[in-house]
Amino acid sequence: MTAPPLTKTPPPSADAARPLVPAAHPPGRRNRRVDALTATLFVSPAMIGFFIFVIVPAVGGLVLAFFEWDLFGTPVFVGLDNIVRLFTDPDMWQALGVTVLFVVMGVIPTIIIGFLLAVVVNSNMPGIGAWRVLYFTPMIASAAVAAIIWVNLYNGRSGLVNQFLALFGVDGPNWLSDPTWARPALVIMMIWGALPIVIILYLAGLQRVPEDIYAASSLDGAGKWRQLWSMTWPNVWGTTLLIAVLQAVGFVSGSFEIALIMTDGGPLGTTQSLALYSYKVAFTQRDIGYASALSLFQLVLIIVIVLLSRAIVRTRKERS
Amino acid sequence: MHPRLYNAFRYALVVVCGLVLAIPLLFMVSGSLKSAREINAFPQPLLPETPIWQNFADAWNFLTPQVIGNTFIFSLGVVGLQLLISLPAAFALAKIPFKWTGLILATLVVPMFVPANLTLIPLFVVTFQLGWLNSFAGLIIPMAAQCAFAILLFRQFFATLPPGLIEAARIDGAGWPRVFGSIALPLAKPALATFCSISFLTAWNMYIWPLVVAPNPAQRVINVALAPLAGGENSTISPAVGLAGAVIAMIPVLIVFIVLQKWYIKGVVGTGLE
Amino acid sequence: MTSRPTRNRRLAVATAAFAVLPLLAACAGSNATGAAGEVEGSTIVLTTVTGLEPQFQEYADAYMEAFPDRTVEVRSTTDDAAEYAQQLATARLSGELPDVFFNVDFLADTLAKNNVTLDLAPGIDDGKLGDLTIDDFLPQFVGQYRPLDNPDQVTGLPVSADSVGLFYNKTLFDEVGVTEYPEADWTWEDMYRVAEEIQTKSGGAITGLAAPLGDGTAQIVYGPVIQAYGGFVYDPETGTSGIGQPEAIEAWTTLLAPYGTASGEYTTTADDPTLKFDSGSIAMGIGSRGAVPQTKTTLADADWDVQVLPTIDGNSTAGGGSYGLSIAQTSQSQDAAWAFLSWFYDTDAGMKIAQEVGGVIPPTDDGIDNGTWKDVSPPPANIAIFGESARTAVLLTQMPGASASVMSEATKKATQQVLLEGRDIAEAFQEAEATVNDAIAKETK
Repeated sequence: MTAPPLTKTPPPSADAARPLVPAAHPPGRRNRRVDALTATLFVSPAMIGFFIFVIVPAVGGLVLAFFEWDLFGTPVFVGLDNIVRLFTDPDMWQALGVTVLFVVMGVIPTIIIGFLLAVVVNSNMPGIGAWRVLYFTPMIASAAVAAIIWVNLYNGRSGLVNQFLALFGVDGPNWLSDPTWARPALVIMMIWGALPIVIILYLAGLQRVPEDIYAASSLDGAGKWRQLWSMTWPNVWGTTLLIAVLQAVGFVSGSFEIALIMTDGGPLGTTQSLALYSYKVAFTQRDIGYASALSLFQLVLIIVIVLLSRAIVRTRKERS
Repeated sequence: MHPRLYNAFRYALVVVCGLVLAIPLLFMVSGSLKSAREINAFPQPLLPETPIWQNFADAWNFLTPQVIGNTFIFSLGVVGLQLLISLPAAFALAKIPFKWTGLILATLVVPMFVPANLTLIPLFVVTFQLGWLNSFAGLIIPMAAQCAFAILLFRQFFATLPPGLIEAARIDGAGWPRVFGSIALPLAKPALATFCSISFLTAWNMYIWPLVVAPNPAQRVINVALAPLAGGENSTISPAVGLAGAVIAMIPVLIVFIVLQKWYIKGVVGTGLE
Repeated sequence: MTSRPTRNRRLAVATAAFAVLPLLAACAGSNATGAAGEVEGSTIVLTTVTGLEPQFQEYADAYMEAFPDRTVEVRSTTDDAAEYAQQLATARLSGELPDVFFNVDFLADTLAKNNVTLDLAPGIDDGKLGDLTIDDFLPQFVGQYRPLDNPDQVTGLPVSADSVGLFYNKTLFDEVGVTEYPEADWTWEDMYRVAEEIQTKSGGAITGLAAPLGDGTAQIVYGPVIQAYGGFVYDPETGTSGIGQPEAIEAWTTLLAPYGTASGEYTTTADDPTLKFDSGSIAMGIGSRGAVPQTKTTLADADWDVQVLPTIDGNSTAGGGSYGLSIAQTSQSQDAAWAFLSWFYDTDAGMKIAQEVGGVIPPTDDGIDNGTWKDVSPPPANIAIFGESARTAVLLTQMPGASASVMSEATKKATQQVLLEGRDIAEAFQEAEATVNDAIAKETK
């Protein structure tokens, strides 16, 4: 069975630590046809829906990259015009850089902070449930409402952030209009918005970490910290990979709405990711063809990166 | 460290981190009670001088029992249908030997990187060709089919079930449907609770899809109904009323989280202390 | 693009190999025809943006009270221009366009070119609006809905003759002891001078003047200023933009001057409090008449008023614009749609309610002179200035296709380059002009 590296099963330690039944040999070949048939039946309903309502529209959207279309007229086939334009468009290259920075600055902190917070709230202490709900609040407000609130928080003169910094004698910048600070400010807001789902997924993951792996460990603070990274962390590795994929998607494309409302891609394009650029090209300039070309380009890049990283992992494994 | 001291420390940590995360939301609740002058003022006061409860009454006027009912039908429909199709698929992809598993997983992941705004119009055309405009089918089914997240989440969960558990059942002669139904599913409670709350929330907050696919008032959902509150330069409605609307819209979701979170924590604590 | 229909259709068919596009092309290309339909017993759908929905609901209710056997169903879409375009496009694909809908300058040309909006000129000539003729409307407001390729057509009717004025907060003037309120003969220098005085005296707590250029996209402000200096934003004759020409550069220099001294620092956030007169900490702000009702509610405790915009070289700098109503070509109840418009534009019927409820200024000479819009209780005491500036207002120039949106992006980028990077004004805006001209060339090829 070949699974993509990002979704592979966790290392065997989780299972090996607490075998519920003695290990048995895998079922023999006799079952292979039954397996295939059952799997097909199980998978079909989802995949049929997925094909009609995800694959077809995605292909339809991407095919528009070879057309010129303004939303209201008839699409006109223009061959590779839009693709060629990609490579001579300085805004595209800047947006690509911003996208990469969003992912680099965002994904890993989200995972680590989310993991730590999940461990902190993964507790049965009385009354803690009510407090735990607070951790889910960032995802409850819609992106539009959250963005408006954060604009207030980041306001250079009256925002809570700068009022807080002033307590320490720090004179904060006008975050969202400062070419240096706008991007980090947005990334922090995006991390905030992404944390609830990460915490929830890690909570689910933590429930499956067998307790007895901790049995022999010491209970002092330093020991707990070490134990967290040497035992708990490897045991939620599968969840981490799932979260990594989701957060990569989120920071590549999901969060463009926030940048649209908070900075409109500014200042000087420093918060304009490919997804936001593509959205503006599509719906304010009504150039759907070029917007599709931008998305197609982004998709091809991601596929190339995934394939490359797989190849690298494979060669490393072969060497060692 | 003394266990009781440790517990007190940890409790404090939970409260402090939670409050920090919730600041923007608390800000929103406070904003929903401000007067038009306060919400537009600069600098904006942290708390309203006197809470304006009328904001909530004004926002409530935009809602009808039908709108709320529609939103529940839509959200629960999406969640239910996704569970129905994703759970078996995820189980098969995690546990049944199948030569297409790798390909299917790749097929699921790749389209996630195609921006939703780009696929909106093609998706609309497909739904239109099916004759599903202005119907709950058109609202629900295309959204339920966006099931990649559900499948990946459940697959990840099923994959961590001890292989021995399933093999034992198989050797005892149980067919895959039985292994799925009576062994895997009952163990999936935390994953189910996780998924249901996330998926319900996503569906509940949807705006642009219901707007384009069901413009009829008969299928209007809450975010579409509250949209006139969002303001705009010609609007005479105070932004505080918009925030009040957002708070009202948030309540059912909050209830779902409160109810389901019991299952996130199944009664065992990860660090093995308590 | 539309000049080669046969080739287009063949090419669209050639894409049949792809899963979705044929459907799409077929829909986009199909031209379902509309019908007159019945008036009595009719139901029409009217779509507007969300912010206007409450007032349009009141108009519809009044109409249905006057004509109990007719129904007008008001639907709102969204205030977001991008989402609005998407929604219209999807409604068109499925043949579910509303009968009457909100139209706006930057969409008007595209909708007209693609046969979405009905040409209203013949119907008005046939007396479908009663005694009202096209000449009764203020010509520059109707001009926004005349397609560039076909200026005899009228694809929308303006709802309100909105122009901009200078809002000022007397309470804040008094607070810092500045007694020089805006006068009708002010120049831009006067405005900047007093704004700076207020801002300095308040130690920065009060913003003297909400930055006129905003985040760099405020065409309703920069358009007239460029014109006052003798330049132009867009010349339909030559099909070019002049935002990088020497006269325009003078205008930009004026507009970029106040940031940080008479106005707040530059901000990318469009609704930043330092840009909102409503915030109660801004002494002066350039705003549209449409903002009056909201300002009345928000600044209930303050004493404020309006004045005509200051001049440059003796020229008025008041801009204006309006949203409009259009009828869909595919409407099956066009006569019922006309009947509603006829009632709505009647000074004694719809326009009367619109003046009361929405504070609109009827876009006709008669409406400006004799309308009830001036009778609102102050503030603003000086509301009558909007009548005069509506007549002289320089409106947003209609530009082909989506090039107006490209221009917004380009002027914003240039503004940021100047203010945040210290780039030379002439250089930045000459580059912006080149970008806009490329876009225009692409639209008109």
